[in-house]
Amino acid sequence: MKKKDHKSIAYIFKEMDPSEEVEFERSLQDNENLLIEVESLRKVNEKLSSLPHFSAPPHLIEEISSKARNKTAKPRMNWIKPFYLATAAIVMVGFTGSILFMDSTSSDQDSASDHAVVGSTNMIYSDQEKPGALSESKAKITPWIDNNDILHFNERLQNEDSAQIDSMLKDSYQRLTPVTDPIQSRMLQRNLQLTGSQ
Amino acid sequence: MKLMNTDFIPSNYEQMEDKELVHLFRKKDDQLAFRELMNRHQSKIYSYIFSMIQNREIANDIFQETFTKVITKMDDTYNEQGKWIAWVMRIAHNATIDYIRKQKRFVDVSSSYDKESKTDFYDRLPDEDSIDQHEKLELDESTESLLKHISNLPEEQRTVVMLRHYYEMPFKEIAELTDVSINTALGRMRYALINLRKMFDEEHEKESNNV
Repeated sequence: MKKKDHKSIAYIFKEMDPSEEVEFERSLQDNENLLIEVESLRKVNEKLSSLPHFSAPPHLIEEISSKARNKTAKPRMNWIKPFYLATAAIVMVGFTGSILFMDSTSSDQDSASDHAVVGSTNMIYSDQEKPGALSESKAKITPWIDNNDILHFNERLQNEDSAQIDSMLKDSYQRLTPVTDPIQSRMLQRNLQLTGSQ
Repeated sequence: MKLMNTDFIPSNYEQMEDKELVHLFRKKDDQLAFRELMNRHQSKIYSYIFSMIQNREIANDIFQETFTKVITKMDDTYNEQGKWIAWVMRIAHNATIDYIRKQKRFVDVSSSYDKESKTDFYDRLPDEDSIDQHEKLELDESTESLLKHISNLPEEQRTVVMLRHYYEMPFKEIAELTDVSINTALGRMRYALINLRKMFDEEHEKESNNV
């Protein structure tokens, strides 16, 4: 359907913007066929205005009115609303409380496991050192960085446990194997470079 | 068209807007407010239903069904921001269309030959004379023929014509109510008027041939 066809209906039923209306009236003057179409549709629409209005039978209105009365006559039970609200509030508080309780329990466990991790970390560096001792020794440690950007802890090495650390280092050196296939090692190096963060 | 009231409705209710009346009925259970709303709109709603169905009894049933829903659902589903009459109209329209579609389905299913009663669809059609007798309304000839022509329009076109005529509903709202675009609604109105024009011409031709 052409746009003008819609426009003729919008024009007849006065549902056009004033500017559109002016434009459409101009096209009516230019297009005789359009003018005939609009006028004939308008005439049919005028016939529709004679359509009668019907009224619902009075007994039906009475019936509906009594239904409306019955509906309002029923107790509205306004107390139900606050009751529901109070129940909802209690459930909400209980739910929130249980979530908080569970959260605190799990965080306690987390912190305990954190301590364990710290403890185990300490075990690596200083076998018998307790967490409390770590904080005491913190003040003594003065780390320094050499030309190759390697972090050193002089104090730790001068410590009485240094012999044990030396033995650990020696063990780890012994685990190193000499490079026999340089190509493979280069590939490994490449892999490392590819996956590295730098 | 006003109803014969058993309750006297004070004049200040007549001056109130629909919105205020709805508020009074919902919040203060004001029966007079509901009565006034019925007074104002029952004719439009009933006329729409009746002109779509063209059967008093069924129109009565649908009208009652509509208002029962209005009363029971007003607290839950009606939003006071919108026009009350548009909301009621949507309920009436849906109930009417539901009925028409159910009837169509019934005709489709029952159109086959029934072995038990040894009848087909045409045998089972109700006698038209008896319907006419039952539905007899005091209408002049031209109105009667107009109603007959409108009843011959396709359902979609009839709906647009009736919504426009009885509610003076803007095409935008008709489009929303019938779930189509505004251009489709305008197009349906155009086809309805063209079809009616054809029917009037044919009728006129028949009359002139008879003379």
